[in-house]
Amino acid sequence: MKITIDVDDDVPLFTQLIEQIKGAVQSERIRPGDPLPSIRQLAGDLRVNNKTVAKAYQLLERDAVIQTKGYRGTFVHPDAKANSAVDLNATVVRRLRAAVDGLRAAGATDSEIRIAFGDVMRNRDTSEETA
Amino acid sequence: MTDAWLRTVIQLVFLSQVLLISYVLPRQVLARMRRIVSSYPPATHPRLYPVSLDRVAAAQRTYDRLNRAALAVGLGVAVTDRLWPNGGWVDWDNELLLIGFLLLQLAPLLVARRAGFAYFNLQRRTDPRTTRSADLRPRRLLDHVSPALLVLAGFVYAAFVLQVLLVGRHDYPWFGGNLNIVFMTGMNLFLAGVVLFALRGKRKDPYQDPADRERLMGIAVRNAVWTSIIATGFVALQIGLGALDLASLKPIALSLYFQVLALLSFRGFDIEQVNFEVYREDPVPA
Repeated sequence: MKITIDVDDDVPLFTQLIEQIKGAVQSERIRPGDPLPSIRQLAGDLRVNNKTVAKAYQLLERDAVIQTKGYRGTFVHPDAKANSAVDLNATVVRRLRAAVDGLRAAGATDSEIRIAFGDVMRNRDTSEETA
Repeated sequence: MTDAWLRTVIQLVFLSQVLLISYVLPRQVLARMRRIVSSYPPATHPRLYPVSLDRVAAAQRTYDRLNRAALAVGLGVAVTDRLWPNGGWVDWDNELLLIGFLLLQLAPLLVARRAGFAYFNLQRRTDPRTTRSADLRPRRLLDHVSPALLVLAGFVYAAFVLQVLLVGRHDYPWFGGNLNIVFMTGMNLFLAGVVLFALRGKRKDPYQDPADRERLMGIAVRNAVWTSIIATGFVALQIGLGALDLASLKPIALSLYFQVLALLSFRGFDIEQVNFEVYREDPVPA
């Protein structure tokens, strides 16, 4: 099962990797329980930075498309097919858009929304650090 | 065996080392390179040549000259010892002589390896394609080497450790003791690193057919395991010869060991099996 990335594409490399792996899961070219190459192997084959593949794997693991089993390696998650259909990014964008639309309807300016958004994000970070 | 006979055998084995590593094997390598250039020239396979043919020929000449220099030195040593055996010019009991000469013989190979890395680097830099592909299948050690061979390597290492511990009970002045275990463990760890690099290292040739890459990887992995078995076995043999008071045979064993390792490391795969279509401007899809 081959994956292909385009280093000149505007889409970030880690996103291309995620899309390719999710696509392979969706088309059942890789199935639950199938082993995946190590970060180093995939990065070496694609001639990209290890961190790029690590980031893609991290996000795929968060979305429960793949799972890491310690020293045994990385495998396709048992629920990968259902989970790979969920696009968390699209959900975030959809909900944010709805929130922004609501705030604009309430009369808030874009500048106020931007500042408030920044404050909320910073507060969240601060609260996490304190915790 | 008399001393004169023993010296003759040592000279013959040394001569065979000189000829094999500095003449026979390099001739084969150069013949292979020339066959590639003539069968797959830049006009039809431009991706194979990130540099001009003149530079390729210059690199071949450097490799050839270095080997000829090592050959001349080796023949000089062999002839000197044959003509003046009692002149004290050549001391076969001194292992440094054989090891030093081997390093001289390996110099052309190291230069060629370095040039090879630079060549692949240029191939990558001049690769105009923006798409890159990879297989979503993990590469594992057992894909390339049989479990029996790995068990054999482990068994030879365990037997070597046992031998060192047993010989260590006697008070031999020449015996290095547990340092032998440390040294061989270090060497085997190095070979494990070579295996890891072969399996997970960066792709060197950007155009190489995946099947060719797999085959080369298999050869590198199997060579590393065989090197571990042969090297560990050789050190065990050296210790055995010392314990049996046969130290005079050590130069023969050392030279034969170098020749076996050379044969092993030069064992590449047949270029007839290589898919050279990938080096065309518009490669034919597999």
